[in-house]
Amino acid sequence: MSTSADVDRLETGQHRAGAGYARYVGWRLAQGVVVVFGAVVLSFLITNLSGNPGQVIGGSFLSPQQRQQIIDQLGYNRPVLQRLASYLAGAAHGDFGTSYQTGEPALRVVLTAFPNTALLIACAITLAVVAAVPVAVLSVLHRGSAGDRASRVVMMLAGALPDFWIAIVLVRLLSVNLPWLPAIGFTSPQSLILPTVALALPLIPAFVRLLRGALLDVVGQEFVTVLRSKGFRDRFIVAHHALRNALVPFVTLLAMQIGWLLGGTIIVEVIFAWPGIGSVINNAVQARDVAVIQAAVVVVACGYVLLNLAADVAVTLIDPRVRSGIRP
Amino acid sequence: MSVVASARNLSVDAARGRTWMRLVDPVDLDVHAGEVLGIVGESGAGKTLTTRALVGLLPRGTRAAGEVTLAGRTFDARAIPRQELGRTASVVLQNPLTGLSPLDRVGRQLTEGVVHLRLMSQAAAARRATELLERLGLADSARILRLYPHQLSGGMAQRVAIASALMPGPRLVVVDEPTTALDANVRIEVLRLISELGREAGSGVILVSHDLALVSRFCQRVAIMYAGRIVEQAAASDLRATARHPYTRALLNCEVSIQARSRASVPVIPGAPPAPLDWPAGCVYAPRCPHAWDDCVARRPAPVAPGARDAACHLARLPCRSGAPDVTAGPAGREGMPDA
Amino acid sequence: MTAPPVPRPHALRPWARLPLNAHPTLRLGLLILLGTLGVAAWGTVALPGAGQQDLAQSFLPPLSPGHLLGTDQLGQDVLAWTSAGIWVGLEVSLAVVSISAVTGISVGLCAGYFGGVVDALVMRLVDVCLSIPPLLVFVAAAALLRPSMLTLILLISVVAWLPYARLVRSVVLVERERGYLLAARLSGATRRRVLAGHLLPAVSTPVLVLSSLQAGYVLLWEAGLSFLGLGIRPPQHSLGYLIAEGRETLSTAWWVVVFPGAALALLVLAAHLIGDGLRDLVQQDVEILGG
Repeated sequence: MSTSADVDRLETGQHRAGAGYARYVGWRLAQGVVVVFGAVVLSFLITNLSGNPGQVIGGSFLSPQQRQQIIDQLGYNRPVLQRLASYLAGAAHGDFGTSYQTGEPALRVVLTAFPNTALLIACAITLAVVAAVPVAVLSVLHRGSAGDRASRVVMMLAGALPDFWIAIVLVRLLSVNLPWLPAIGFTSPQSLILPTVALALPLIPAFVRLLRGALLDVVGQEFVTVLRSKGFRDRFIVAHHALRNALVPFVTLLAMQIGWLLGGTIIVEVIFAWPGIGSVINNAVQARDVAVIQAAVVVVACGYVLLNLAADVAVTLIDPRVRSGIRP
Repeated sequence: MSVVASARNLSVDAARGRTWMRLVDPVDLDVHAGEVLGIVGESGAGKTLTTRALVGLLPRGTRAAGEVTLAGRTFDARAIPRQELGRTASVVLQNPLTGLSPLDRVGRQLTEGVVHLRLMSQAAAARRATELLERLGLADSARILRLYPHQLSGGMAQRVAIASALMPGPRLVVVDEPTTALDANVRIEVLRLISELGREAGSGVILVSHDLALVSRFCQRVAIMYAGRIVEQAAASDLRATARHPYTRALLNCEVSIQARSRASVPVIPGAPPAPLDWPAGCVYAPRCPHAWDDCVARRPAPVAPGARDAACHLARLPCRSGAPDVTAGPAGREGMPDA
Repeated sequence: MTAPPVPRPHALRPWARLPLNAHPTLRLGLLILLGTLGVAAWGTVALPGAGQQDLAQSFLPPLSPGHLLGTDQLGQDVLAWTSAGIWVGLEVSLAVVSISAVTGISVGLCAGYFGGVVDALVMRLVDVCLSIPPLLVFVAAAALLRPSMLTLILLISVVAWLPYARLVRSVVLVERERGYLLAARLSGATRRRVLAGHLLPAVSTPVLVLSSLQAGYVLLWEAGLSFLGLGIRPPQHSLGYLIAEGRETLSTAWWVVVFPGAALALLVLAAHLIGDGLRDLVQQDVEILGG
C-alpha cells in the first residue's frame, strides 16, 4: 500500500529537483564564461609568444617602413602589460583589433566566415551520426561474429587515415570523375557535398566506437533482460530502447571530444577553399595577421562552448532524470 | 494440479575459449498451477542459470540443452521463441529500479509488452495496468503511470515491477533473489503479494533465493541446488523435519535464529563448493559430506525426479527397514552439528 | 626505521608477461609497426640521400629502375623521402609522448592525491583546454613561432599532456579509495614513497595504453601541420609536406600522395592496434586475478 510517506518523499523530491536543475544550468553557463575568458587570454599569449607581434606581423611581405607604420598604427610599440590590458578591455566590447590586410575589424572578418563553418560542421556531424548508428547497432547485434570483427578492423583502418589525405583523394576520385561536384569554394548547394563527406569520413570510426561502447554498456543492464522477457526481439531492443539510452552517454562523451575530432576542419576548408573560419585562419596565418588570429581563436572557443551547451540541451531532451536535476 | 512449466534434462554450458564448460547438470523440474516452488542454493550453485534457461533468457556466451514445456507447448531449450516467452512467462528481478528503462514513463513500460504482442489493445492494457497497481496497493495509480522510474520510491518500484510481470497473465512467474530489496518488510510484503496474486491467477511461481528461511515461509515446495544440480526436492513443510540430503541438513543447521541462545561459534559447513572445472566424477557433495562412502565417490547419484519427494544421495535412497535413514547423527565432537 | 612492505594490489604490469603469441590485436599491431619500420630502415640505408634532386628523373612511376616507389617533381625518390619522413615523425612522436607523459603524470598524481582546491582548479583548467580544438592552437601558434623541430615538439606537448593528467587523476582517485594507501601511510611511508612506490605502478598500465594512442595522434598532428606548411620543412623531411607537394599533380603522379599517406596510416593503425591490444591484455589480467 502506498503510504503518505511515499507521497511525501515524492513531493519533496520534486521540489529539490527543480532547484538542482537550475543550479546545473547555472554551473554550465559559468563554465562557458570561464572558457571564453580563457580563450581570450590564450589568444593573447599565442600571438605574443615569440616576442612582440609587431616583429612577426606581415611576415616577409612588408618592407621595414610599412612594418613600422603598422606597428605605430596598431599600438604594438607599447609594453606588454599595457597591451594586454587594452586587449582585454577591447575584447569586452568585441573589439579585437583591426586586420592589417583589409582594415576591417578583425572580429567582423571572422564572424562573416563563421556561419559557413557552422553549416559545414553541422552537416558533417549529422552525416557521421546517420552513418555510425546502423554500423554500431549491427555491430552490437552481431558482436563476436567474423563479420563484426572484420568490420571493426575496417573501421580502425579508416580511422587511421589522415583526414587531409582522405580529403585530397576524395577530390581526385570524385570531382574529376563527376564534374558536377564542385571541389572549390561555396558556389552552390552541391558545393557542400564534398567537404561534408571529407570531414565526416574520419569522424565515423570514432562515432561508431563511442556509440558501440555506450550500447554495450546499456545492453548489459537489467532492464534489457526484462524487455527480452516481455517478448521483444533483440533487434528491436537494441535499435529502439538501447539506442535511446545509449544516446545520453554518447552525446556527453561526444561533446567532450568534439574539439579533438573536429581538428581537421581547418585542413578540409583549406583543401576545398571553403570560405569558413578555417580558411580565414589559414590566410591570417600565412600573412601573419595577428589581430585576425586572435579574434579567430576566441570565436572558435565560443563556438565550442555553444556546441557543448547544445549537447547539454540535447541530453536534457532525451533523459528525464537530468530534468529532475539528477546527474546520471 | 496441472503443470504450467517443466524442464527435462535441462543443462547449461558456458563458452570457455573453444570448449564448453558445464554449469548446470541435467535437471528435471515441474511447476504446478497455483504453487510457489522455491529454488535454494549458494551463489554459484546454478539457480539463476537454471531459471533463465527455463524461460530462454540465457546471457550471451551460454547455451542450454534439453526440453522445456511452457503452458503445454514443448520446445527445445536451445531455441525458445521470444514471443512465446513474452506471453507465458515473466521475470521479476532483484533490483526493481534497474529493471525499468530510465527514459520512459511507467505507464508506457507497463503496456508496451502486451501491446507489442497484440495481447490486448492500448486502452485495455492501460486499464489492466491501473487495476494491477491498485490491487498491489498503489491507490494513486493514475498519477504513478505518468511518472518516470527515477521518481519512484523503492517500494513503489517493486510493485510496478510485479505489475509489469503480471500484465500478460503469465502461467509462470520467476522471482529472482528478492532478498536485495530495500527493506525487510517490503521484501515480505512483495512476496506475499506475488504468492497471493499468483495463486489467484492460477500461475506457477518460482522463487529463487539463497535464504532458506524466506523460501520455507512462502513456498509449497522447495528444491535445493548445489554445484549445478538439484540435490533434494520436498514439500516445504516436510523439509525441516525430514530432510534427507546431507547438504540440506547442514544448511538447516546453519540457520542462526534471533531466539537461539548465543553459541560459542556460528555453525558453518567446512570447505567450499567445487568450481565447475573441478566437479568430481561421483557425487558432487562427497568431498564435504560426513557420510560419504566408496559408492558416493565412484558413482554420481541419479537426478532428482521432478515433483517427487527425492534426494540425489545414495545413502538417502537406500531402502531401510526403519524408514528414512537418519543422517543427523555424525561423528562426535564435530563443530556445527545440532544440539538436539 | 624503514617502512615494512605493504601488500600491493594486483600489479598490472603488462611487460611482466608479454605473451606476444597470446593476443592477436597486439600481435598485429607490432607486426605492422615492425614491418613499416623495416621498410623505412631499408629505404634509408640502401638508398641514396632522400633530398637528392635530379630533375631529369622527375615523375617516374613506381617500379621504375632504381626508384621502387617512383619520384616526385624534383626527382627525389619517394621511398627515400617517405622513409626519412617516417623517422622524423617517429622522433617527434616519441619526444612529445615522453614530455607530455611526464608532465601529465606529475600533474595528475598531485591533483588526484592532494586533492582540494588545487585539484579543482587544475582540473577545470584541463577540462577547458581539452575542449578547444588542438589543431587550431597549433596552427595559430606555429605561424608565430620560428619553425623548428624543437618548437614543434614543445608546441604539441603543450596540448598532449592534458589527457594524461585527466587519466592519471581518475586512476589515483579510484586507488585512493582502496585501503592499501592508507595502510602504507600508517606504517610510516612518506608521501613521496606512496606516490612513487605505489601509485606510479598503478597508473603505469593505463598510461602505456594512452601513450600508444597518443603516439598515433601526434603523428597525425605533425603531418597536418607540415601539410599546411607550418611544421617541418625541407631540408628536414615530413610525410605531410610530401603529401602537400604532391597534391597539385595528384592526377598524374598519384604515388607521391598515396605512399606517404599509406605509411602514415599504417603507423597510426599500428599505434591504435597496440593500444587496444594492451588495453584488452590488462582487462584479461583483471579478470584472471579476480578483478
